[in-house]
Amino acid sequence: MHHEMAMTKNVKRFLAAIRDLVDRTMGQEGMALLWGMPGEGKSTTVAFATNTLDGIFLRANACWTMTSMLSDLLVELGRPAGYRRAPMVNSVVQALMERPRPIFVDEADYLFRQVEMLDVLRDIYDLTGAPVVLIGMEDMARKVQIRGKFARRITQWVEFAGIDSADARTLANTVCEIGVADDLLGHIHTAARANIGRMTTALARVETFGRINHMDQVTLGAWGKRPLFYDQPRFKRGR
Amino acid sequence: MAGKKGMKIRRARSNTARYRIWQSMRIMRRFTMPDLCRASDARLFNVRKFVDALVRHGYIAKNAGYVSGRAGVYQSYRIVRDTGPYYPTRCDRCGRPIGEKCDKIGGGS
Repeated sequence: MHHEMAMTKNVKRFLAAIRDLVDRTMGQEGMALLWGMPGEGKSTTVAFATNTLDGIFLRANACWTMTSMLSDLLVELGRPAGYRRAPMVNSVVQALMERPRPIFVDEADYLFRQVEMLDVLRDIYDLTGAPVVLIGMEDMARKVQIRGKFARRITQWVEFAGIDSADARTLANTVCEIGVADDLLGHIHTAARANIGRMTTALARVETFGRINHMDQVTLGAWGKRPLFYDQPRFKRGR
Repeated sequence: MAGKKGMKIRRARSNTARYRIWQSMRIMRRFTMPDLCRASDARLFNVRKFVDALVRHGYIAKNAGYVSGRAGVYQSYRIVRDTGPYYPTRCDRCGRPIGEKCDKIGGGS
């Protein structure tokens, strides 16, 4: 098994959106929104993007205020956190001017509880040019759209959807060390309901099966009705 | 990993594989070694050495419920002590380099 990042359409779109924000023209807004269902590979992709683009990752929580957000941001930037907001914003701006880095904010739904936090983030990207990427669950995009004033600041909208059959092929070619026939891949794609995590587990089993039986390529006929996952069995209700 | 007698412990540096692995741990909170390889573009060998060292010094811990011998299922870990953006090079409890044993936590190996 190769433990590498599969460049699916979701990942490519997300990285392209961030690069567009980094290279945006003067006066263009610099915020992006990423949303999707759990299990679509959001966290891994965000970690990959943070590492690739030397970003700063923050996780919002229910207790966040403007001061705690700025303190967390300063800690991530390797600077001491302060107690007053204005000097902290100045310190953040200075750090980002010295070394521009994109800012990723997970669970960004919490920012809408205090809109001032979003205004500060906007000030930061206005002053430094560092793009801000908000990450949230499915409802997030709807919440943002309702607030029309805020929605126009977001120039990149990226939804993480389930992977299609072309992405399934990319995944199989990236992670699997033996060939997987199209019919078996289609079966895995359907059984995993396009969930990338479950597909990786199934592909690992297929690879082990192929190696044990000295196969170059595993087909659906060879795989038969073997289970693809390690789910617990479902029993009929007892009498 | 253990180094040579008298060598200086280097301060954590950014833009290294260890830095990216540590960042990935902090972002994901619960993770497996293949997750870290994918997110940080590091090799499994390097990830395993770093993870084992952090487990020994109590920065991360193994999650229960792992069943070995199943293809595609890996031991998961959780981050216990998040000490900031720079990865630990020296244990903050015993004071020894993280490549060595920790005598405060009780982790051996």
